[in-house]
Amino acid sequence: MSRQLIRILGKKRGSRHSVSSKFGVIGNVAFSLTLLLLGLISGVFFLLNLPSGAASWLLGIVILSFIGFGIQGLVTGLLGSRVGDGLRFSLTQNAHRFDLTQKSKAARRLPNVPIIDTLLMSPGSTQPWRLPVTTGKPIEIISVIAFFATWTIVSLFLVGYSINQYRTTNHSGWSWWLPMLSLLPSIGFAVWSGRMLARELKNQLNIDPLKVEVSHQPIYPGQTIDVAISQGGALYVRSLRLFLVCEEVTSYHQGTDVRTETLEILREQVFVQRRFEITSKLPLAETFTVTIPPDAMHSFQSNFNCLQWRIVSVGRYRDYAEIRRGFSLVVHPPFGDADDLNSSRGDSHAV
Amino acid sequence: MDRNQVSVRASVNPFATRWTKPGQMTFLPNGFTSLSELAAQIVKDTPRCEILGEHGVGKSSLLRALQSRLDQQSISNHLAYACGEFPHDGPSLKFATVKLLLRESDVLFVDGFEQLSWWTRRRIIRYSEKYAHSLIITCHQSQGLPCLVHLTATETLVLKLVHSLQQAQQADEVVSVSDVRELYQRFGNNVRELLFTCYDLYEQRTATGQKTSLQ
Amino acid sequence: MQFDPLISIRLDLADREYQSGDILECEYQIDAVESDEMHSVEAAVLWYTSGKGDEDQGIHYYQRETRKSRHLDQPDLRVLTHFTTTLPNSPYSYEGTNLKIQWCVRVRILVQRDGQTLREYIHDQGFQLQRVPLLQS
Repeated sequence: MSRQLIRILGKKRGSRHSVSSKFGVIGNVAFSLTLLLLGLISGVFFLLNLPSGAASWLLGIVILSFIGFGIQGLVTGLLGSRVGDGLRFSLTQNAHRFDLTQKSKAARRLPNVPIIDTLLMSPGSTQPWRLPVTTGKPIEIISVIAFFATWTIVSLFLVGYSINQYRTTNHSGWSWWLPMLSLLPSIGFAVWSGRMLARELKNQLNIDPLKVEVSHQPIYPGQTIDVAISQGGALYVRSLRLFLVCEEVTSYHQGTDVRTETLEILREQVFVQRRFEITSKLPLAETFTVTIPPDAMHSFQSNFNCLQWRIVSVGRYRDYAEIRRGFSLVVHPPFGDADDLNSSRGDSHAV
Repeated sequence: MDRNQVSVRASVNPFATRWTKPGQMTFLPNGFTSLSELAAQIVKDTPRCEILGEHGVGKSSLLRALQSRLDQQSISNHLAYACGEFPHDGPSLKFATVKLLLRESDVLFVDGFEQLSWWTRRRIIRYSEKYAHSLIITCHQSQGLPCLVHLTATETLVLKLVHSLQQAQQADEVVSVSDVRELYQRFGNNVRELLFTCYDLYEQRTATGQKTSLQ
Repeated sequence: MQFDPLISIRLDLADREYQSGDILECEYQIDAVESDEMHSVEAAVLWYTSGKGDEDQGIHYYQRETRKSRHLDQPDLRVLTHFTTTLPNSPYSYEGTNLKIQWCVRVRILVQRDGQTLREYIHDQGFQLQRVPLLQS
């Protein structure tokens, strides 16, 4: 049974909710956007009619905090709602398994091999382990929001200033037509960046993130694991491909010359599906196997170099931009007294 | 258990960072002035001056060569790095440390001077001017001191450099003279970038065993 | 004319691939230097990276001897010295493209000759720990 998107009184019945899970995300984003716009508009009026005295400082701080919280809420709402839920869930469920001794023991047993942090590892719903996403677009999203906020405030300021100047000065002066001329391009930028932000919002709200779950962590060279993927939402998928990828990541820091290079040394397609629809009644749910090559190097991490294994998804959707996500895997070197997480699999919980 | 007899000398790429990082390569004079003349000038004039140049052009190597010359002449000197010997290792050089080094040595070399904060740089320069200490720095952009030498990478120098790197590791001459000429056309003074590309070329050719062209 | 000190390192099975958990046996000695010129000797079993990134290094075993720390019966730092260590589970030797991981035994000596400052001399003897070649994609 589908749930209403909005309901005045949402009720929790056991582990179910009577409203859609999207309500929280939309509400969060709407609230943050409102805060941001209120802050921007108030800021413009504040700058145009600058009061004097201590009140101006107080008002300035209030307006800045509106803008700050608005941006922060937007960013976390767009990026982190599901990751945040998963992390919070994992923390509460796994707190009893937190054991410093185990962690340091693992580090001594396998130097420079990434440790699987049981505290932060989410249990999956169909497979024991859900992989964390390693890539998103935080910098791009922040840039879009910052660009939109900047040009909105500039446009509003120019509008206010121009009107003010038009009213108070004679029309032969130049002080009003310069801001008037700047209005069109600044409004243009604000509208363009607003459309980019709207597109991001649309992407984030309509495309549920792809979840990848695996049967084993850590993995060993030559091992075959089961991988389950799932995705909800309402969209038409042109193609969804998953790759097993191994990368060498090297960093070079010499004074002001700083660079990081990522070199893919293995890319193997492990899943592909084309031209299908995802609906709320028929979400994507597939399981397939992935085999790590028997002569594979284990995951390695040091200060400036690392070798990492990942599952990378590339999704092309109708009406949306291509989405790429990375999910990190940890490959351990095989040794006799392996004491991995597979021997202590947690219960599967729906997140 | 079978023990395979495998070579322990893993493939050595002569352009790896460990051979090309700042100060690692022997300084190759570029025909501007000789090393001896530069060292003599430092001893005679006790200058405050800067060595300018792009990434990888040999500033750190020149500092080490000058330091070695002064050591031979028993002139006390100290080579300090703006961010520790390995830039990622140590904390930033502090003004108090620089003051101490200036007092204790006849000549203080500071490598990577630009990495210090603006305020620290100004204080160091003012202090060395006030007490007439000898200070020689390396930088990419001028810090307002007289220029001791502006290093540039000529094609001849780069050819010598690439040849010496391959020779030092007893590697085959995989990156040829024509490759270097083409790379020099592309990168000019940016020797760091040129050496990284040589690295890639060396790896590609030794892996495939074939001569691949530059892309 | 003075020769540089000669450092000789011998592994129990040179030119072989060691496995995790194997016992590495090593001997080293120093020649072409006087006993009283030797200041200290350090021996280490370590891995280091090479390639396009900055070098990383991990020390698995380390010992240092000075003239003072040597036994009175045998103060000479140059003599044949033996040590053993059990090799760890990781990291494996690796020959990638931008990243290579190499293991070695490194002996470093500090020598002070007449009227000169302390000088260091280093010699490495490489070995493989479960060598992994580059993946073919």
